[in-house]
Amino acid sequence: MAKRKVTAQEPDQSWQKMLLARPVRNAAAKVSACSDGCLRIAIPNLRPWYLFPPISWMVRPAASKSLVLEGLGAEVWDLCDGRRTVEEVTDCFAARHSLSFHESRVSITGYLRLLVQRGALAMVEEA
Amino acid sequence: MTLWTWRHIRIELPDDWEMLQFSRKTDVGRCGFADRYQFRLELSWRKVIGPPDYNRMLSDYQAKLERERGMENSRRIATAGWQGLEGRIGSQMTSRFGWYAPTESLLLEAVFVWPQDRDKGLERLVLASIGEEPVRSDGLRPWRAFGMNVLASDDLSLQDCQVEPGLAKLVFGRPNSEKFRETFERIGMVSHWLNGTVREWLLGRLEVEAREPQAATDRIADHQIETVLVDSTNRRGGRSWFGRGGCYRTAAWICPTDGRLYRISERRPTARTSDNLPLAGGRLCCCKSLSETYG
Repeated sequence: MAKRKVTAQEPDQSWQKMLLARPVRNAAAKVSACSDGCLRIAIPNLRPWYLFPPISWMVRPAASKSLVLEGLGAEVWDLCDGRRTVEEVTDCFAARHSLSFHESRVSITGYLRLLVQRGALAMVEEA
Repeated sequence: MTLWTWRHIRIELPDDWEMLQFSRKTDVGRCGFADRYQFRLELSWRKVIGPPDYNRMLSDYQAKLERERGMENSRRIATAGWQGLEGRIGSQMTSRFGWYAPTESLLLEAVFVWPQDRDKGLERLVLASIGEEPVRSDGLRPWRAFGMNVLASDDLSLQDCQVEPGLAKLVFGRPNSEKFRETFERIGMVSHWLNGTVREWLLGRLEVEAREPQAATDRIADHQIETVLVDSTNRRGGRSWFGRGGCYRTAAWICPTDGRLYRISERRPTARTSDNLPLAGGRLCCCKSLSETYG
């Protein structure tokens, strides 16, 4: 089926709710700085439900997964301090790199989505 | 207010409204502009054979919106010479206006989406600013979008438009012809990707085979302009085999005002009168100081 094109006139075509959400770091993630300026984020893996003896004696899954954030990625991570909203992160990034608001929004939301999928961040919606 | 010009239609919008949707088609298309939270204006166009009967068109449109989109409290309105309708669809207040652009034979529709109530002052300002952008005597036509102030040849059409974070690119040409091509680019976050000089980068981006490109550097209004000229018609005292000769010129610079890299390139089989207009500041402008240099 063809994808329907969204038009400006459709009701509820607002991304304000998303902008008001706050990206919060995974408290269990361990962050370390690499010598080349990158950030390495180790996110603990959940213990699978089937992992009990004797299976656990043979199968040893990795205790954590790692993400390496380079230059701009590390900058976005630093901006996500748990207090700033997505809108504030977007504004900071736009000001630092002379981008327009929507240029910054598209970059930031795409990157935040990736970090949420990898378990590094969670989004908190204000009630 | 910021001036945008797209598809030979000019419009002034609040500075924080950006074009998030656009159409390259000339006969029928639309552009969507948004503030930071939502779409605020949709400007659509359709080629028609003559001015419409506004009364009949608006009555039919009003009935259609009430029937198909559930528009409530609709009523006829008029502002700044535009006739239209206002009404509520769901939770959103909308006002929509129609106007016939005589030179281009276009029927324009401007649809405002109001988060709360109608801002009649802003509505009037925007509608009064909408008009046709005529072709200049040198055969060039202005386009203003995504931070670029462009003069493109009127005999070429917009073939490609690429807009990504930190990149805007407009390509004008003729379908199925590589001989005519004008490219305008604006690239951001330069310190993150530009390793060499602007000249080196520009020479690496030549779109034609060039054995002896003539490179030059100029300084105009604090802008260091790198220019490359390739004239393949003179290479062997005439046109190259297969008729691939022609003029190719390109320029690039970093604007000190916004820190972005601008590039323009033009390819044509023959020179034209508008070739006297410089590429930087004439055909492509980044800021006021550069544009003021050439009036």
